[in-house]
Amino acid sequence: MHKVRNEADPVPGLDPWAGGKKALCAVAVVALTLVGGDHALAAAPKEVVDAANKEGELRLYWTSTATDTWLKRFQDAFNEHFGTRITVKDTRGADWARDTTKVVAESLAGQKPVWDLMLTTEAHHNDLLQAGLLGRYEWAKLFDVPSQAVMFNGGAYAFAHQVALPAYNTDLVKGADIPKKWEDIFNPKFNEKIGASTATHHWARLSQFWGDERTTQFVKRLAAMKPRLGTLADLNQRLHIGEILLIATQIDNFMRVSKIRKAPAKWAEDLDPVLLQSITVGPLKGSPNPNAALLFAGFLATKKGQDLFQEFQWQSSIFVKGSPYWKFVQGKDVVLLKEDFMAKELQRRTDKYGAMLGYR
Amino acid sequence: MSAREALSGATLRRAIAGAGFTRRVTQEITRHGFGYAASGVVGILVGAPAIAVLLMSLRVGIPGRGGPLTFENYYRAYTDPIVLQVLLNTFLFAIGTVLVTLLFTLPLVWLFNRSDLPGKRAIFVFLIAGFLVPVFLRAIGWILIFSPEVGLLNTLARSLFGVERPIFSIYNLPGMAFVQGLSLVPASFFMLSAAFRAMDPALEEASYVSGASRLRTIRRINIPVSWPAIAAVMVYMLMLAVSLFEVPAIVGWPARIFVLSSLIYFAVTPNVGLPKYGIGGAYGLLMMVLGLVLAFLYFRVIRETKRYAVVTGRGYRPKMLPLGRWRYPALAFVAVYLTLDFVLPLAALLWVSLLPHAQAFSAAALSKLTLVNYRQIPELIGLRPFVNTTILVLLAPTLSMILSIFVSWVVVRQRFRFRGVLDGLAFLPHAVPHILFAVALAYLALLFREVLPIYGSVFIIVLAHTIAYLAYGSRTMNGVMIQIHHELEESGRVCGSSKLRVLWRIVIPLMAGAVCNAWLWIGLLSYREVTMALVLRGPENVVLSTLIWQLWFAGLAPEVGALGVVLIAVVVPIAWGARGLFASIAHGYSGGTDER
Amino acid sequence: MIRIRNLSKVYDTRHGRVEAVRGINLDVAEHEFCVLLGPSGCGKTTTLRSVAGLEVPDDGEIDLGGQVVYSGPQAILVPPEKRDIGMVFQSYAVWPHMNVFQVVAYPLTDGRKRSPKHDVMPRVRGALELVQLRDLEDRPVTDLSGGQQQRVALARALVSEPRVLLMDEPLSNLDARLREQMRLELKKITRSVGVTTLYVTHDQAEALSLGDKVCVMHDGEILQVGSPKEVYSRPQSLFVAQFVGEMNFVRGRVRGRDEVDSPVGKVKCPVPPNCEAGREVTLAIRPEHLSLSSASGDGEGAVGGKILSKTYLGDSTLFEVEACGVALKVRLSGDSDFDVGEQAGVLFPPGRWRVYS
Repeated sequence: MHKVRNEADPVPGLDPWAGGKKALCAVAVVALTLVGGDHALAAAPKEVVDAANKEGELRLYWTSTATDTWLKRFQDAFNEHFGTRITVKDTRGADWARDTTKVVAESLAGQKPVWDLMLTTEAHHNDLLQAGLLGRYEWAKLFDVPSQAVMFNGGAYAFAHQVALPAYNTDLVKGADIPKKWEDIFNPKFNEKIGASTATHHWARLSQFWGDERTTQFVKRLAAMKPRLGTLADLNQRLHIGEILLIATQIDNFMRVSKIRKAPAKWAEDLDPVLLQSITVGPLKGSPNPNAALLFAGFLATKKGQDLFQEFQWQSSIFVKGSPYWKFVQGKDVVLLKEDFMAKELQRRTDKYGAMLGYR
Repeated sequence: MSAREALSGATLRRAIAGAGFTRRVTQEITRHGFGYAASGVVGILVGAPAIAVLLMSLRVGIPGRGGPLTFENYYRAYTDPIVLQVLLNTFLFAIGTVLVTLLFTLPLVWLFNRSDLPGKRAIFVFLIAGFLVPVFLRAIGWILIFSPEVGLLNTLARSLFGVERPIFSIYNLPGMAFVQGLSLVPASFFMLSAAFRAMDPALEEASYVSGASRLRTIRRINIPVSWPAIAAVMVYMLMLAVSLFEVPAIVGWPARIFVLSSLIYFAVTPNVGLPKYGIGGAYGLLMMVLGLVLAFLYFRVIRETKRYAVVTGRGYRPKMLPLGRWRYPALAFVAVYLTLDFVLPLAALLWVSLLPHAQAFSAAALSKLTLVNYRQIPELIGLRPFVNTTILVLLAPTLSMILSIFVSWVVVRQRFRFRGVLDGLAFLPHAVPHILFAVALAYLALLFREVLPIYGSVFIIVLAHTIAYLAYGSRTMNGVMIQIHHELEESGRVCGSSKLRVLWRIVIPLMAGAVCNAWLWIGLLSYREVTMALVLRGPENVVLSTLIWQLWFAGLAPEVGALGVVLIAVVVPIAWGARGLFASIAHGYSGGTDER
Repeated sequence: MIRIRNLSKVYDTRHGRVEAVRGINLDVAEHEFCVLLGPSGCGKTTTLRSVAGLEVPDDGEIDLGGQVVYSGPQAILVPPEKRDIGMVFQSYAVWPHMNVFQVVAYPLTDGRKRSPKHDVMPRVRGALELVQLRDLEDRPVTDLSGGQQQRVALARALVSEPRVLLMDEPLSNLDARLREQMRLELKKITRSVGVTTLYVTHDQAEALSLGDKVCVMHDGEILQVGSPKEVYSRPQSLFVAQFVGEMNFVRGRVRGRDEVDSPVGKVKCPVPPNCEAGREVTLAIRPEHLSLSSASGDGEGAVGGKILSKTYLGDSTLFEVEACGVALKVRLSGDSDFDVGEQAGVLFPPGRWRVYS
């Protein structure tokens, strides 16, 4: 398996099945071959800017933790960067899957998408792709997006990543009990005091790296510990309170909250591989403000956009050299969903591991 | 006779025969115009989404994507080996919940409406305020107090008696039923109050002068006489216990106890992939069948409505019975209930809101108390959710009550042939899982956006709540209307008033107190409802409940706690005022004909 | 048996305080049938309900068979279920979820005088026998007619053989014929059982026919207590005179100790001691005490008048006669030959006039 080494070539080992082959992001290859594709919006940034300015408005779907202040900061930075005067109206969504479905259902009913741009994950954008709601854009050419980040034939790109790892209560779990590798969460001390969340896709992601067999065994052992089930938010409260000692996987959004509030919660950072989820963005086909959407998506790839998002969500792209997450994953294996895995296996395995834990 | 004449003769005969039939139909329709009108309105409002849900369960994929009808969802849903266990759990959970609810509700309702229990106004307000604490916030309270690991009770037991094993846990079926049952007390309290208040006090007095004690009178007279209303509440709460998701998620999941509603929730709320509405629909159908069976049973209970017409023409003035020395046990009972349902959740809420992050009760935590969460509030919410919420809580209960009164009136009062069907229809929204109902409604609103452009606005939430709470409203109104003697209405008719005018001038004023209470209660339900509002949400129609929900799921529990405390602080004075207002409205009607 | 002292009760209504009962006193002897008679709002129901314990008075004392059940000064309040009473309500108050037997058996199965099971059946049957409902014991009470429901309520009130029976306008919801029949039966039944009865009504015919003692109330006060005959023939106040039975009223002016001037001439009658000469008074005389003569002129104890109307009632005929500018009602027994428009003399028998200041 390949480690991400702190050297000139930052391409991480994304292809565990390929064994010892030199890792190269297949996504990137696809994206590169698409440059100049017939459906691409072959417009120079200048034209995009003018068209976007004409639209004057952007309807953005993004995280539920956003506030009016953050919206304004993004809007101002965005307008300042491109010299535009675009009003950003946002919806702060908590249930990305359901809202994605809504957009798909609306488009099937002949309704234009209510949002121009959705900041969700690769899995959600995959659903949009299957519904034919993603276009094709030359992200690398237009906005200098790292080519490995471009996904779905240019339909969207990952501007940041979300990390998921086991998290423990620092007051109650100490020293040798802190997990150093994934199997350490089976410590009998954690029996009935470990949380396993509804985000069962984490196990499916892990299985892309480990293979189905090993992951199945892993989840079986986890289920045998009689874990406390619940949503990530719910389990996070229980972790803070100390009702559970450990959450089998917790995402960075909640770790950030824990850190800001000085709650006794920490990731087991030594674990390998690190589960990554791509935070993706791509204009919705048929939306009223396609150019503003494209421009804003591009803005997120800029230095300013990256910094702002880091400040906002504490999430950054592992493809951007020097970014916090680029640093975090150095020397570690990472799991990033591949598109064919997403299309064929993700759903099935998510359901399977979920069912093993009790989720139906 | 020419061929043409013969032809026209035959046509004429056919026409006459046809006209005979048409006339009968016309007669039927004009005679029962209100019945058909009500059935039509309710049929469209309820039937369309219900059918959409049914179709959803017969298709794979998401609403709107065509494809052949298939039983695949049913196959996948019901061949899962876990289903039998889940059904058993659901059954036990629902029955347990209703028992717990009634255990608390019946004494409370009696004390509140028929006795001179002191501090009624405060109790009323506490009931409302307790109800306003969102369930997932109460969950923190339950964890802090009842958790086997860190709960206050068990920690105390450990330090006081040196008990090693936790003595008390809510992570089991009885615990789930207890918590859920407790949370349904305010709703059932409001449903039953109306019926208890409307009862002819002479029925009770006759028992006292026969020498029966208070408890015995409650058991032998009040409860049996109010049986239609109690049955209505039981059926309603049973269905609610089957469909509510919060407690099964917060108390059930940690204990790995699954019920129907948690299966449905998980099916339609995946973290990746598209929601499996079809599977949800397949489980949902079971709930609908159950709901219809219950509605049918209920209708049999109230069929002999005449038997229960106990509010007579005599000016009635419900007497409050002096409790005497029973006052203290009664107050103690109320105190226990309020502690469990109001004080503990609110204390936990306050505790959480004053800390940087959720933590167990401890002296060490006291040093960390902070107001930072309160300062965050203006930053987290703008003005729009307040405007939307105001529109919602004013409009939804009003529309729902108008419809409910009309439906109940037809069902209970009119000799309408299909009143059973109408009553079943009005109950149906309660039996359809709300998530699916909202999905179906959203889809329909999308399809018919040219005719009714409400998609994405707050008005679609208003519509969803109007329909969903029709079940609550019509059940409450049924219970009350049954008890109003038909002669009161008939006397209005013989004075030359039309049916509608009698409804407006006589029936509704007689029920004024109950109508006000139900209105208020639907307003509160609407205020708190999050499932449907979330599904129907667009950029323009965020309401407070969805806002709180999304903040909570972003892990901002302390901020949500602070917001919760602020909202309670806002609502309690309003509820206090509303109570006074409603009391005087109710008094204005029922107290008008005092007989000394 | 029933002793009421200084009973008073004030209600706070939206329109201010209302004194429903103003310190009344009443004694009802054992086996006596006492009727509280008065218009609605006079305080009679409040009094009855206070005796039952369903209403808590503000002051005074109530004594039932030697037991103080309420005392304001001593702060005694016996709850209704501890009082040895039976009660019949105006609205019947039969419980809709029971059958006839169950309703009547209730005081024995759930009430103060709980009886052994084998005892309940004969006693309930006995009570049903008393009210002639023996055949209907299995019927749901809601299937019965109003009169039958009222009998069920009566049987329920009597089954525990209480020492005091309270009845709150029990016949007012029945139709006229049934009311009369029930009235007779009530009298028979209560007499045969010998229960002390307190009965509230606003119907004077009911009061006079049922009561051993009639107690006329007005505005929270008792105006007169006495036998039906006393109350009817010697009403002590204008209100009683007006409320009990029919009465002709004529304005007059006192002339001497036993003489009053009136439009119909000088009237000889005892004048109340507080009325000095020259004072305006009201003279009253019952229609049945007047008679008509064919001699149309004035004479001793007679004035000429003209017949304005005639109402044939079967057993009697009621005339309205105008004499000396005053309209007088005259009741003659049986049919009579006088016709409307005829001139006739109205005869005033001596000793029938009563004077009220």
